[in-house]
Amino acid sequence: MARKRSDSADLFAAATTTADAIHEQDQAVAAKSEQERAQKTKLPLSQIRARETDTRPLDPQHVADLAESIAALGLIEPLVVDAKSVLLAGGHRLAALQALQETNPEIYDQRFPDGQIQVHMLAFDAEQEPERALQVELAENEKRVNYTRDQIERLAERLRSLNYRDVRGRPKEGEKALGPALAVAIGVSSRYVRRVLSEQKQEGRNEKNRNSVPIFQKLKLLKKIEVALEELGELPESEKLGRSEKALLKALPAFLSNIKGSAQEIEAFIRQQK
Amino acid sequence: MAQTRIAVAARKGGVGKTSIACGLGSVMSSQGKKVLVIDLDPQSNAAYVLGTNPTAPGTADLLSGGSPTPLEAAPGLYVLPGGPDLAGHIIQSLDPEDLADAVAQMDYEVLIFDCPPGVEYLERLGLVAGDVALICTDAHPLAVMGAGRVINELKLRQQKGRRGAKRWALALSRIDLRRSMDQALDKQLAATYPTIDRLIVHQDSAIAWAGAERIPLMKYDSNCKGAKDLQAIADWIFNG
Repeated sequence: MARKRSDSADLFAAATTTADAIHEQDQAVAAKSEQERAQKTKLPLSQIRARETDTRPLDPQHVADLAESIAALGLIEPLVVDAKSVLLAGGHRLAALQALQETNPEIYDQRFPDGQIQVHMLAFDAEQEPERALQVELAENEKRVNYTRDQIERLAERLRSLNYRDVRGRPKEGEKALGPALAVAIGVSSRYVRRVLSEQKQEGRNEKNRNSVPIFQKLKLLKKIEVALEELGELPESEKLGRSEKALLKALPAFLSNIKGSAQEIEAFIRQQK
Repeated sequence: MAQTRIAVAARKGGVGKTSIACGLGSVMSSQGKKVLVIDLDPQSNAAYVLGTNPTAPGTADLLSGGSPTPLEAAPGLYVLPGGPDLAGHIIQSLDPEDLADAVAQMDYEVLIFDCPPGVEYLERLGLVAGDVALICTDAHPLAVMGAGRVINELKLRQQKGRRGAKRWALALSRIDLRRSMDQALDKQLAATYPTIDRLIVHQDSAIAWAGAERIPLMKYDSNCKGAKDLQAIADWIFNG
């Protein structure tokens, strides 16, 4: 026998009541996803909105330098935007991106094939909290600590080992331009980097830096090893010695004396040179 | 050009959203309006039922900052396909108002947003971009539950003064008044939502066939019962 049906009206009433109950969950999820939107990592260039009040005028040369480096390397440091995609920090980078898109769309499309620009989105509204927005902008600027020339040279060395070359103009196939890469990495203009690097080259030719001479380096390392070995010898012995450690302990005195001997020989040699 | 923007939503799947969205598009374009159906469904059914290529670049491209070319399904009737790209990370992290901004300058008299089932963030893009919403339900409690959730969302946005549809109606789909559930549906909705207009689309195999054969409804059979029902809905949208 067919089951007696319930009243359809009751069935619908139960459904509408449930809809109200689920609505609360809907709201919670919506609120959460609203929050999660703050973690957005990419935006189309056109959606990144300019600051209403620009606290600092753009330096056209810096913009041009950055455009050059973005063409060479892509955008290394993402732009910082607020929850509404208003730019907080990276005015020069944004201008450089726009310039690159305009003047060299081919390279731009290569660098940003999906049209998306890397951003770091902070979960607040600059309009609501202008002071915080300013703080972010300034903090970002302060982050460009002044690198010493030595630090710049060391960074340059690392980049050279990665096939970056100091060349003016377009690098050859397979090579990458050193100057712009360095400029972006430390947040200065590529012109400044070029100046530092060329000065460094001159210095290298004229007067020898002690640290750049292998023999001084060797002496320094030997002294370091000597100190470390002495320290090791003074440590209390382990209760259970492994085979390797036993062998090491045995060899240590002779090894240490060889280290000291080498250091003395080098020192004698340096005195002779003078 | 003044735009009429219509969001078609249900939350529940299979209750006639795409049939109503595309049918309505066909009706309005046959009235001489320039209509664009924007499919927000990763299943990309709208372009399919209108006889165009559902895999062409469409709504996801638009939402990612691109400017895809809408496909022409009939004179004055265009469609932006949906597709799996709509489920991507970038779309998920959009602001609910982004679709509204993206379509504001488009050169169409009518925009119809075919919202997906289930996927709230996509549905919300449509509800916020529309100035009118049609909430579809058929005569089943599960569909009524889905419609209830959409109504609650619309109400809440309105209470908070947020951007989004200002006017909405229930579109009762596939109604056959010989069935007791269908009779009870209208009464129940009238009792629960006394201030919301109820528009009825009767059970009509022409609507199903037009979709299956991928022909816009007015071209398939401009005199069918479904076309008349949809004309009444178009009238409600334009004239209140």
